[in-house]
Amino acid sequence: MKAVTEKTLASGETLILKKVWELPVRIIHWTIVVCVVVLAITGYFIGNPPFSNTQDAATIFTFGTIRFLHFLFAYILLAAFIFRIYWGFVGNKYARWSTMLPLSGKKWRDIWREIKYLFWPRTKLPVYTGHSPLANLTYLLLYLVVLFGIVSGFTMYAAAQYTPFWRRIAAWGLALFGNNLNQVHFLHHFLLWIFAVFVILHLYMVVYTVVVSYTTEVDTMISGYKFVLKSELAEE
Amino acid sequence: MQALKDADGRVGVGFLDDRISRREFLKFCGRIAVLLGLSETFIPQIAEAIEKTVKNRRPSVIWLEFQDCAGNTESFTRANSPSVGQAVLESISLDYHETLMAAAGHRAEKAREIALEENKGKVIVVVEGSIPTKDNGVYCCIGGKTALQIIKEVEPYALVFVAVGTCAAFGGLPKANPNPTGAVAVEDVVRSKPVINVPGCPANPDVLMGILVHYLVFGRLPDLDAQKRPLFAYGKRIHDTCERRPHFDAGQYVLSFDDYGARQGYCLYKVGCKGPETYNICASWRWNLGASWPVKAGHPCLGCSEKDFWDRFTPFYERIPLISGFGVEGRADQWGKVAVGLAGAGIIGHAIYTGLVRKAEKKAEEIAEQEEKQASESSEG
Ligand code: HEM
Ligand code: HEM
Ligand code: SF4
Repeated sequence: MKAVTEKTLASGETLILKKVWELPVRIIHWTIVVCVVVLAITGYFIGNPPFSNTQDAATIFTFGTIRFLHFLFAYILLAAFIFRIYWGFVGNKYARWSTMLPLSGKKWRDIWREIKYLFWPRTKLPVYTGHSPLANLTYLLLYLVVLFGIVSGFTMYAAAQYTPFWRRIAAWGLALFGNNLNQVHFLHHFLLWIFAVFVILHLYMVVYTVVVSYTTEVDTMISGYKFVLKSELAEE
Repeated sequence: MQALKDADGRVGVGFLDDRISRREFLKFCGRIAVLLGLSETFIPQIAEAIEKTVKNRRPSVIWLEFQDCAGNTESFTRANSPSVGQAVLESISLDYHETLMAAAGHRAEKAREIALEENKGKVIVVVEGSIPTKDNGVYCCIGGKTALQIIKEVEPYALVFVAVGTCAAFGGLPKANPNPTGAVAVEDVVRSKPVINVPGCPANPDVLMGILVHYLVFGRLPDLDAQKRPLFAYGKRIHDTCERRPHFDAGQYVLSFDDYGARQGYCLYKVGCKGPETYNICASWRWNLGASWPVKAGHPCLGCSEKDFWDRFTPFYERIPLISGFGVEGRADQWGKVAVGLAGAGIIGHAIYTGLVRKAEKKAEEIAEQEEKQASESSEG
């Protein structure tokens, strides 16, 4: 079990470990991580094949395999994404879209306060049980990026399948991109870099909350446990 | 033209010494059957349909040229079976074609008017070139009329508009940024009649024959895709029919022209081939009687039959468009690396900043504590 289950903040408030992220959220998280890593690596090779084989073409299928992996993990990513959308309606309140979507002015003010907290000495931030407002915003943006990757990716994928079903998907997807398949490749090409930037910021955010605001553990997304205010627990 | 037909209007019969023989004609019909994906049992039907049409001189075809380079006309006169394709079209009654017709000036315009009147609602209008719309379309005038006026005039008489070449189908080069003449595609101005797009720079002439023959044999136009291109010709990407594809799947690329890979016939992906983004028939049907096509000849596909290819598929020798900005054009990946570098520098900067701030806060706390202590000590003493 957990070694530390209670912490006291300088302000005198007590934090207690509580299970915040349910199993499906964690499974989805790590599925997305694996998919994004595999898609980014294979995608990089698709965009810039770094080698040119010289063996007999009949005996090797290097690039075909790379593309196969890309498409395989694309399907898994799609499944994880759909499952996450669904879980946003049935999961606990920390995973719900109703909690996560910044639909009120208060949410945006909270986001602004958190930005101030990051850059202004001595700004105070309340302890958030679920995602902190700013992290929350980055996740929503990330899911939008995943959606964009899925739409542009499956448009390109559909363009190479010639069944009536895929033809319809391709026509529909291409219409979104001005009927220009090269444009789809061009935009899809950026995904790799968007994810790279996100992952850097995301990991920094995790380390930051572990070291500075004490509410997250390094293994929060594995165990599901996170520090929450004792006073808030009492409310529930 | 008369010499091409016998009394019953049968093309090529007894004309072994003329432009086409019966044998050549049937071979042509066979090719068109293959192109349309029909079985060989259709060959007699195709031959019969063409013969009947030639005899009746119906339907009428008129060919309009606007902002173009006449490349499709060129292409057509060098069709796979050059003499046959051209002869058939002429026999079908190519009533108006500025480049090919003998008449000129008012007589030529008269020929068009007559053809239109005689075949109201049944004219197949082939359009080559884009249509300028800026400044009332003054940038392309023929016989004192703008392209726009001519199209509008012809529209009521037409059965269908066939936009051959990328300019007519999608606006092509005249429409490329900054599009000085306000060029648009045929489908942007024709509202009341069906449009078939046959893009390509130039379009494959056999595809035009295929459309005509399809109409003659089945009495209807061929199936089109979402961009109004006939599926029989634009149903697949070049990449999926390319003979270099096994090299693509094997990861064997031409890295620069004239390198080892180029001599081995490897895939042209890395030197900018747009085959993966382009729908056309080049790879399977080829050009000049199936002799060759660009990729076979060692040059990457430019994507010439795709919408906005001049703006969006360039540079031709890069896989992915360059990004302009900050005065330089850079590759997407360079900008990506800059973004990652900035993010990395940003978090390192922020981490150091946070560390310093926390340290300062701690020190302030300590000082405050000490002062408190001193204060309490002094009050004690
Ligand atoms: C979310 C993470 C993803 C990343 C980082 C990623 C990355 C990439 C990159 C960098 C390329 C090369 C683009 C080019 O230069 O043409 C690529 C190609 C491609 N991706 Fe993705 N991708 C992702 C998701 C997807 C998804 C969900 C699909 C859906 C099927 C997909 C399908 C494709 C296809 C079809 C290609 C083109 C392959 C080809 O033309 O041979 N990708 N990807
Ligand atoms: C490709 C890499 C990654 C991606 C795309 C990614 C994506 C995400 C997303 C979308 C969320 C929001 C979860 C939700 O509400 O659905 C999240 C949360 C989280 N992730 Fe990741 N993640 C990645 C890597 C990691 C790694 C390596 C760790 C562990 C060290 C990690 C730790 C966390 C934690 C602790 C949270 C919850 C943070 C909070 O309470 O706000 N992530 N991640
Ligand atoms: S040469 Fe071009 S069309 Fe042919 S396989 Fe390579 S990328 Fe595809």
